[in-house]
Amino acid sequence: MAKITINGKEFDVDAGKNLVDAAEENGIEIPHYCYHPGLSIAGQCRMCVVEQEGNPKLQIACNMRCSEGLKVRTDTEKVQEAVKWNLEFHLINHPIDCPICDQAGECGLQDYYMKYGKYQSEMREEKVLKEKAVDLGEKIVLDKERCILCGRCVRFTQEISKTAALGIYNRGDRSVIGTVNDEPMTDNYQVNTVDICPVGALTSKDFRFEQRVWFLDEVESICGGCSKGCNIFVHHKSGKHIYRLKPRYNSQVNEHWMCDIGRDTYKNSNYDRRLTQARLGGIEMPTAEAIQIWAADLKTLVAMEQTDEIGIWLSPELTNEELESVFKLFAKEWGISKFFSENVSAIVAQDEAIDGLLYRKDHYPNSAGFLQATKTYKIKLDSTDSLVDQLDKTKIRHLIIFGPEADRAKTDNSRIANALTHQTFSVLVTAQLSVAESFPQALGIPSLSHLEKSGSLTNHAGLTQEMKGGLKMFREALSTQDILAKLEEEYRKPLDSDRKLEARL
Amino acid sequence: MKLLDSLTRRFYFVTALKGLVMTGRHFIFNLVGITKRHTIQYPEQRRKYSNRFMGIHVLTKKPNNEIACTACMLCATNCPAECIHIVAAESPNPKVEKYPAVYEIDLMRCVFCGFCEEACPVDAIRMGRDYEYAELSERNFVVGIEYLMSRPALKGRNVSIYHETDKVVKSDFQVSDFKKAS
Repeated sequence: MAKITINGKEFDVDAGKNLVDAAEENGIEIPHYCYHPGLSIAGQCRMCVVEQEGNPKLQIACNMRCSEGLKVRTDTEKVQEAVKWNLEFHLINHPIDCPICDQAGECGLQDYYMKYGKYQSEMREEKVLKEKAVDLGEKIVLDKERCILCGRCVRFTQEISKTAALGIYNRGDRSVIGTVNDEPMTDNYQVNTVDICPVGALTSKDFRFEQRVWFLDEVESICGGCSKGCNIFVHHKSGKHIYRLKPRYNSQVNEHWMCDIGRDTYKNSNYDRRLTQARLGGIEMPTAEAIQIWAADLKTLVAMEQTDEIGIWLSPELTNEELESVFKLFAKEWGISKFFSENVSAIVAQDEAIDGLLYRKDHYPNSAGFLQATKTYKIKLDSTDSLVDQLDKTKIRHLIIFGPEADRAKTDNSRIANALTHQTFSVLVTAQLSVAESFPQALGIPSLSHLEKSGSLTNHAGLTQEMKGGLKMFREALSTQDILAKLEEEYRKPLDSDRKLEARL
Repeated sequence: MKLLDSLTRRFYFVTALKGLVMTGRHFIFNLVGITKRHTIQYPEQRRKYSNRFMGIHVLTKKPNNEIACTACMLCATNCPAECIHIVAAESPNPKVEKYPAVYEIDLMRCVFCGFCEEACPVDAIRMGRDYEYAELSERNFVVGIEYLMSRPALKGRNVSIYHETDKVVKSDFQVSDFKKAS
């Protein structure tokens, strides 16, 4: 610990900590553009100047480590004047096209201009015009005019993604960010440069012109794209449409970053890809009615003591809580023993970070938790092969499939769908329309998509992380726990024929 | 006099007659036109409104007849009635980045406050002067770019002010008229 003094107030901070971070922790804002806690220090923007006691010149805070007895001031006239003029210099060639800029609302220039701006420009020269809307591959659009040359993106490609795709070219006021010969960027981490860009120079193509950021609300969640379990923010508009995912800082998992494949997973939660109504053979019905049909079929099988003809196929993307309720109801309560899944232990054994960064080979977010849950409930898992085999021999007359999202288990799904005959009654609890369409004969029940769920996921390293939920796109979709609770309730009700019998007696 | 008093009290029709005379007088005076009437013969006669009157919106054009709006959505942000719906897209013109592919105003929701006009940074939306709008279905009150930019009532007079100064239409409306009318 070290005792430092900022603006005459004493704070205890970790020795060696960056002064910008230390000040921010204690509620003092030091404006900065080029400094990013996840990257090296460049000292290019000169926005973070502070006055250090005993030093006649202004110093940059981002290059200052906290040590015992450090005394700085951010509120003197000298500092304020310097920040004001620095910002003025940054704005000399900035086009100020905020109305058409996607960054507007979360832009460093806008925020600092309102706080520290010099409202009357003294620049009389014409602005230097540069290229606008440069295509940098599939995911990024670059606007060279808007760039303030902080170099965060350049340092990111050099230090984190290690592609060194971006660089600063030309000199003086004609300096621009760019790739060699304007070649497209191709790696899996490029959209992080959009996140760290303090202005609207790098913008995401996927989010381009989609929505203004001030309309968006955010919810904390965990990415379901792979077994890494990156912490994310889900940006949605009043719970009706999800527009993008942004990484959330977690020093143990993903730090400040996130991969582009994970960023695309939000599309599976939006209405156009969702199973919105319960359906059987192309006929839509209310969820309650679908659960009644399901419970009636289960009840006859259980009443005839044929529970070994009930099979359940699980996807390792279910949360720990969902697995718990599934195993409690089906295995403990009703004594069903036939559980199937993909070969999860093999998937976990082969799991590795594909590019040495975040994205992993195992595309399920909760494989480790899945294996753990099967152990605690002493479930014997069979492979999809044996399920297909048993379906062929009509040993299974009632099959329940829990939630493959998107195209994850595509081959397994199509094999099961092909093996299903009219002799097997099948129920599919999923959020995805495409999955429901691949099982045309099944009773489809809409459940929550990954980003809407609340529950915990165990990642590849055994770290269990909580998803808070708090987002529901439409009313018809229920959580798996709710569906199972309704099923149990429906199951305990006497059959209609029984009721009639009772009435007659 | 006592007798007359008691008579009038007893024979109420005297008062009724007084009332009828009053009604009849107004009827005849109005018919002949001696008193100034507060109503007008609407479709033939029209009231003159102030230049500041806020009617159905106009989306202005650039001189090359393109829409002036850049789809920044500040009008939609500022709108207290939440009646503006914009879908932004990449403009077909390579010199323009962003333009509204869809710009819809729900005239049934709109309160004609003019906040959209004030919020617009490029003078792309203005409050027009027309107020007559009748439709058979509510959905027809959701009007799009075509109607807002070039409806017949605008008579082709629709270019944004930063290209050409508008002619100031002088109204012969005066405050005293308004006072008399109310």
